[in-house]
Amino acid sequence: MVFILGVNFPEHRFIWRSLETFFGIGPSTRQRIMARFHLHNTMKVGDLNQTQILDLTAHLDSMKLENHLRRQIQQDIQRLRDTGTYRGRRHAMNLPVRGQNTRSQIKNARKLNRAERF
Amino acid sequence: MSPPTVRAFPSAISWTCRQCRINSVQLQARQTSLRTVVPRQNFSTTKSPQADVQIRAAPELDLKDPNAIPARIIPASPSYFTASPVFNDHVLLLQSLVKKHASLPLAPPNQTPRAVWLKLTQYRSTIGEKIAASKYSKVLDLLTRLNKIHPRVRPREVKQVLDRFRRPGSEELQTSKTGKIDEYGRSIGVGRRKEATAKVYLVEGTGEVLVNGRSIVQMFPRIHDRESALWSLKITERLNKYNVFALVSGGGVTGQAESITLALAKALLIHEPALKPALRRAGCITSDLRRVERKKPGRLKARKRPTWVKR
Amino acid sequence: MSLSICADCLSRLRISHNPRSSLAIAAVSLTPVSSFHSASVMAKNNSLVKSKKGNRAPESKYRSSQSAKMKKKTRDRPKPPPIGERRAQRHRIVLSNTNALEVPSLENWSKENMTAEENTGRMLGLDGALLDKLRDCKAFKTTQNWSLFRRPATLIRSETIQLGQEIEQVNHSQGKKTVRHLVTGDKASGKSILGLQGMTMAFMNDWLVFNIPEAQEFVNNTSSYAPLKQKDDQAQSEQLYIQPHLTQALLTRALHANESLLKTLKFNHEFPKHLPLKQGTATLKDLVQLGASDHTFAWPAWQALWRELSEPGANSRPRVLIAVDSVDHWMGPSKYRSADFKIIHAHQFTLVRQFLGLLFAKAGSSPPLANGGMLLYSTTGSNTPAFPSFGLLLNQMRARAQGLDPSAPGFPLPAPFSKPDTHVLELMSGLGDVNLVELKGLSVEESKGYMEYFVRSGLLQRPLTEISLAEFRALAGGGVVGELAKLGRRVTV
Repeated sequence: MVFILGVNFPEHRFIWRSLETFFGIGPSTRQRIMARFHLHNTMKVGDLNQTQILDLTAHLDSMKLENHLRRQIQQDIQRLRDTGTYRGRRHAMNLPVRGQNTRSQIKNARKLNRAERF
Repeated sequence: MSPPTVRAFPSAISWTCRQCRINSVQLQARQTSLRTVVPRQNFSTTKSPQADVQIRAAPELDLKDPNAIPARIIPASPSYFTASPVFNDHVLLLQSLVKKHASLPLAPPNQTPRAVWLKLTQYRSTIGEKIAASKYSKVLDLLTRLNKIHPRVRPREVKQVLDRFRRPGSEELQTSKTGKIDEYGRSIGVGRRKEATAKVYLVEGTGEVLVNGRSIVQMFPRIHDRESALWSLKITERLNKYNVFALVSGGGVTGQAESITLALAKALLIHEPALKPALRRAGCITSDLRRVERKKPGRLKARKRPTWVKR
Repeated sequence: MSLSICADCLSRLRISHNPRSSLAIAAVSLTPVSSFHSASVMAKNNSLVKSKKGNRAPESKYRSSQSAKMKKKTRDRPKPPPIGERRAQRHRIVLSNTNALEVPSLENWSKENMTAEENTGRMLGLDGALLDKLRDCKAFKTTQNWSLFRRPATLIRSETIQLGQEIEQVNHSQGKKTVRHLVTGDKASGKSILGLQGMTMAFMNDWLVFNIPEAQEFVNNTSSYAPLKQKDDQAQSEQLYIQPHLTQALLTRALHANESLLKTLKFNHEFPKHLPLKQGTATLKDLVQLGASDHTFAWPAWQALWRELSEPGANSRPRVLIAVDSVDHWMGPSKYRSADFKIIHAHQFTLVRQFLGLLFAKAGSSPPLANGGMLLYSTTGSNTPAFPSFGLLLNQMRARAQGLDPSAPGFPLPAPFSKPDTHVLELMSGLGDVNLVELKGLSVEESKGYMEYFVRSGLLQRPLTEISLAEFRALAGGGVVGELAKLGRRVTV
């Protein structure tokens, strides 16, 4: 087991897969992180040496991930509501924010565009 | 009663029933076997072009002669009451000829005289009846059968009948252009299959093959396609005698390969015309005229229908 | 007036001249209907009867639901192969087919008949010790049809003989002669086999052999890489990268294939202090072993080894053969990214740069190998990346082979307004000594020898005539080896 940013990963798992489990890291960010530390595509978590793990953890620490990121999104929406903008109102009403039609096909917007997310 | 005195078969009037009449005619025919060629009138109501068309009244009835009194009036042609009597007469005539001359020797396929028969529209306009294409194809079958009779023993009547069905001006059609070998020793053949067209330049050589300037392996990754492209050379065992340069366009892989087959066979025939029977047997000369059937509106494909639901 | 009956029919009493049989329709002959599957049908009926009897459920007094009695069908799933087995299967080299017939007249390929001209177009067998060495340096590939015949054997073609003669020339030359070859050709035209034959002949002559069986591994981002620390004077040039695990693999192959030879080689120069080796007693084998055992030592060990091989010293050095397959993957950008997410070019990897530098050495520079040798690089026909600059490079080599001067008007140049790969363009200055070997189809004699071997091994079960040989050659695009093999093993019904 390898401990990265408070999470334990089994050694046989690919690094790219482990990194993408964090909220806030998608394929593009992951590629940049891996290139930054010269990690190749088929590398597994168990292949990392101690310094690489420390570097990686330090780098992830400096990024806004997981709960920090969630809180920031929350705050952004809150700010929009407080200032009384149109976008803020749309968020409050669980409706599409960016000018889509609402006659049909807004299921996802209703589900996702909440003021109180997560 | 006196022995059967049917005076003449074509007479429109008779005392006897049909069965007896046929029997007696056969009897007569057998007795006077060589003398009579059954007159054409017996079978047909066709107006022969030579005879004047004159409408004549029926002969006056002689009531004193009991034999002359008709039981009922019978038309000259047995197919008088059918929808297309002229056509049916033709069919009967041809059938009788085929039956009559069935024992005559046939000419081998390459010595059969080429014949082009009347087109369906031409035939329709000559007899003035509406004939279905499928029916006319039966006539054509009979004509080709008669045409197969060896020209040396072919009877005159057969020849006359065949000439009547021959397409006017068909003598010019019979000659086809023969290809030539050009100054570089090339012969050119063109073949088509599906949507593909191939043009093949064939030179005497050592067996090199180029298709669109590329090796045949690159052009046709599947061995089967390569085989079918070179089939006409393979079947005649000429693979190491000629060099092939083919230009193909259109269609897919199979179509391109098989269009080369045809083009190659045609080009090979120019070099060696004696190979024609071998190539014919291998199916390399026959052009496959099938094409993709067009899609129709209201259908999913050419024939496929959308799923039918009652409600 | 008409009679309702026929007058003739009344007079039936007379002797009939025409018996009615003449009118009778010929009886339709009844063809006996044969049932083609009578046996199976009967058998089936029998089985049905039996099964009905056997499977009949015991009669019960009351009605019970049918489904309760029906057992769930247990599906027998085949056990999946153990982990790693599928990949091993894919990479497994099978050198023998026990179902094929043994060819009694098969001779072995040895140093004595290495360059015998009369062997052109014959199959020659490979024997034990040589096979182990070739296996250790990963010369065999799954695409080379080794699993068809009883014993591994290879076709000697004219290019092979030529290669052998050049190896002999290098052996006899006192100077530091290095032969450079770039092998190209269509798919399945025998490029990698020629590389294998080169390696075989090098082993016969006790050369040192380095083999890179798959150049793609260096660029497809599946192996570790690290930036090379640069000295101060190099700071302006571009960043280079080392690949420790690939270097380790290279050293492992070299170690196993050349172990006996490396044991005898002593150091000429001092090696870096941080390598855990005994100064004085250590041989080159220890050095290679060190690199092969630990990937952190792989790159310094390789550097030290290369210094020993390329710089002349007190002890003489063996001749060296370097074989690289599918080299065209090295002629463009790689899949790797640098720390600032820029694409790394293949030539930025140290090993790639070094090996390409050997082949495309600039005129006037010192010979790369201390005691001469051969460089045998081949392109790939099946997995070819689209690198137009490399295509231009090949065209230039073809033009040079035809005697076209680089300043002549017809000489191929990069298309105007195109963006040619500058790294590849740099190689063009070193084209002078590289010999382009273009593999085409086999000649008639060679393909005859090859197909005869199929006949004698029992794979091709019809006699080989001139006609059928011509057919094979035409279908194989003028005798391309791999295509001939496909035709030879094809089952014809």
